Amino acid sequence: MSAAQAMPGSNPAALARWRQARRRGHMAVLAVTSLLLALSVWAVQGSVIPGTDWRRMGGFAEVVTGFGRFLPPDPTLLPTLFEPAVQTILIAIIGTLLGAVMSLPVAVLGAANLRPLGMPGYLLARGLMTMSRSIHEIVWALIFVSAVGLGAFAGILALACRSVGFVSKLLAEAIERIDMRPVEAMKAQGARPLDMVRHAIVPQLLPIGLGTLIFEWDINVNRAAVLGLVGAGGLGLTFHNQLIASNYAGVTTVLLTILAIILVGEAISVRLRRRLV
Amino acid sequence: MFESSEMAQLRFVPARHAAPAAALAEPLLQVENLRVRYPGAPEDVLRGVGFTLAPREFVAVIGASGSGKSTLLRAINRLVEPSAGSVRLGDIEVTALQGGALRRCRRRMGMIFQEFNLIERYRVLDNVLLGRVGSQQALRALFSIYPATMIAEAAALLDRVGLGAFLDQRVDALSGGQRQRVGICRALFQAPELLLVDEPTSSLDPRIANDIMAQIRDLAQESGVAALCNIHDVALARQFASRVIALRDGIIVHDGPFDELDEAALGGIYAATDRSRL
Repeated sequence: MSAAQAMPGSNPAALARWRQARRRGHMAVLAVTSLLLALSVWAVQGSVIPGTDWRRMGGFAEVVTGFGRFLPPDPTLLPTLFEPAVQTILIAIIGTLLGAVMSLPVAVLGAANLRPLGMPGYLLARGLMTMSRSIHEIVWALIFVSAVGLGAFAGILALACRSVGFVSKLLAEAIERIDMRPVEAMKAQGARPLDMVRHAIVPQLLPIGLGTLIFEWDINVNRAAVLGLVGAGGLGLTFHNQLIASNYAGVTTVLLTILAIILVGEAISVRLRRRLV
Repeated sequence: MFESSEMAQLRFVPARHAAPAAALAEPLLQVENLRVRYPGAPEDVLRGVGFTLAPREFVAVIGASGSGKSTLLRAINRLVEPSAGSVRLGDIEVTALQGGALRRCRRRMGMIFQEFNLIERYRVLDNVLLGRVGSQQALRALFSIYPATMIAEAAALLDRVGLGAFLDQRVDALSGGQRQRVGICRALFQAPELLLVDEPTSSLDPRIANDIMAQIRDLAQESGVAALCNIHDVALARQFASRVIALRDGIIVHDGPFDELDEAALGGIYAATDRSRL
């Protein structure tokens, strides 16, 4: 008999239920862990082992030598990286802003409490949100490269389309959570509908909207850096060129530049969010 | 910017209320056979309510929760649509108005809310200035551009309620009592003819509730504004209103001086309201 059972006033039936619930919890953890293990073994057996070129991998020393080709970085490349780095940052900024503008009507249509075009408009907006998020930015870039040609414009459009899903979804949820009491107060004092939107609704959406936008810009700097791989401008294109030329030290320089941009972007976005939200 | 002494000298008396003595004889507000039924509700919340309100009169509306007090105030300024009956403000039939005409009429009725209904991220002065946003030109209203005289008037009004030093604070940094004072200033800054006051002290502690009620009454009297004030607390109603309208289950069961209400009558007003209406 356990200490708990021996304690006066304890409820044996409740204690039994607690033990049963705990046992069920342990069984669930065991089942999920077993399933993940089985899936891992199946993936290694079915994909990793037959899908890897083991003969070309060579020994451990060769693997280390392969990695060693990426070091040290090539500093002579740095002056040529300035322009694509600026282009990457601009692609991220303009792509995010364009995405934000595109997100506004989608968010309004997709807010359950507004539904200005009824259920068809709501479903269309929700569909656009899902489509935007489910298509990878590289795929968006490939689509726009084929549509408008190589370069930064394709990158901007790709990032804008990719941003719509996230920004409009969060904005729609913010609209759904609006406190209607200030709106009612302005209505009661005879304010025009535009005044109500400007003074009672926008101030409530602004902190969430700005926070989302800064966060999205942060992610888009990251995305913009790799879009060049498919010809959509920026550092990704330089990265691609270095890789094709087998200049692995140059690849490392480009990667470090991307990392620096992302770190600076992260620092700026943290400060902006702290000030504005 | 104004020094506090200068602001104290500016008294808030809207010119609109310098009404000729003859006009005082006419009722400011006439409510006749007012009925309200919310969509999907089985019965009316207000069942043929009728009364008049004279200019400068301060009337308390009392009744249990669910008796229709808030609905009455909201039906007068059409935040809630009446299903039948008539509301006249001066010579205007409020229930017949639409669009711009309704908005202009609403500007003649200030409203003070139980939960203040302020713009939390705006500063105190900006919230008060919003009281006249509807009467500003659209572009000016959009960009919050107000004439200097209007800003001075709003600042003076805030000084009058003891918030002169707080006018640059954000509303979400204020206490409940301070927020309600901002709400009072916003409503009075509209320069209304009628104040609709909906349970202004429900979310405040008793001492502050007393101060708030005193400020509403004093400012309404100074400005020559009539007030219809929902009060849940009978003691406050007795203290501040000479006339009381009592509602029970959507019907007026008393309209007259508070002195005519004895304990038995009050017991009847607050007794077992039909629970389905709560």
